[in-house]
Amino acid sequence: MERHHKRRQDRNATLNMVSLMDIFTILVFFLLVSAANTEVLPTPKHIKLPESSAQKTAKENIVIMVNNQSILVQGHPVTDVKNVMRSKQGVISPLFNELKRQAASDSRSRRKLADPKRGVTIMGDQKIPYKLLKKIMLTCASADYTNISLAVVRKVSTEEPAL
Amino acid sequence: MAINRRKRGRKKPEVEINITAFMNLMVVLVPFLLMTAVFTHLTILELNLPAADSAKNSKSQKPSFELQVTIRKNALILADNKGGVIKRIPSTSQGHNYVTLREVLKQVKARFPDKTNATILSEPDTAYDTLVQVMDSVRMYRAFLDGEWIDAELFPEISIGDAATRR
Repeated sequence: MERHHKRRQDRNATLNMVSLMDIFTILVFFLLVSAANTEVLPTPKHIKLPESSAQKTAKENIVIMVNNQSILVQGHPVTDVKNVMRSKQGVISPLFNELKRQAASDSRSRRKLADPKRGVTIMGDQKIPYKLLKKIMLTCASADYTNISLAVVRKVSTEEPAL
Repeated sequence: MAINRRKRGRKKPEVEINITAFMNLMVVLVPFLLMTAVFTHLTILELNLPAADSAKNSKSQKPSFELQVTIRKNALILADNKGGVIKRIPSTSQGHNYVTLREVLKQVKARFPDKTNATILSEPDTAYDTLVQVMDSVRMYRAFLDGEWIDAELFPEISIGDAATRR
């Protein structure tokens, strides 16, 4: 006991930070690796995407977000879902105009890309009816966006055995 | 033993690396990376949309067998393009029975191994979630092969259409 007391008096007290450093180093590496494969799609706040076992990662596309209130193209609200559902038309004209505008600016900004097929990614809420989805897809197709992909959340497979 | 250690300690005093700067870096870096980290991985399902001008061509070379899955409110109906119902899968209390659908599709795939496309027909008020789940069941299943779980292909090229109104 006495020896301990003596030692503490003649030296500065230091924190043993080795284990903390270990944790931080591992954590930083883990986070750096997970940050490396960056996501193209923005994380939606008001949309609950359906789950799926799809593996394909998203491409750089125009993103159409749909929830029960409104339709957004690249984050800008375009029209209300209520109006769309009420109208008898198959094509949603505000969305069509917006897509055409996007297509025009897109081809101006990166003309060198020789990909004639333009694509959109639809982020739809779980609850939206098929009728709405069909109208959106029809609008996309008529605005020459024929590569339609549906954004989903990757499901962790539950069928695998717990080893 | 204790004397020995003390002697050694006196001979060369403990050297400590100054890790304060490194610690500062870590403390800044960890919250920053945690903030930017993504915990839900978003993936995409690709749809097989015909281009606007290919509609005429498809009629002339219509395939002899076309698989159709119709989503009704309380059943999933598997049929071919001639209207012959292969199987009607009624819903369970938890909703649509995707497990049975997958099992039946596995049998269909065993009969037609070269077939890769299917059509999903849904009613106007079918929820998007239901549609995606059916697409998921039609696309593939997880199989246990050689001690490993793999994704086995069923009918990955999916088209979407309207269900015929019920008579």
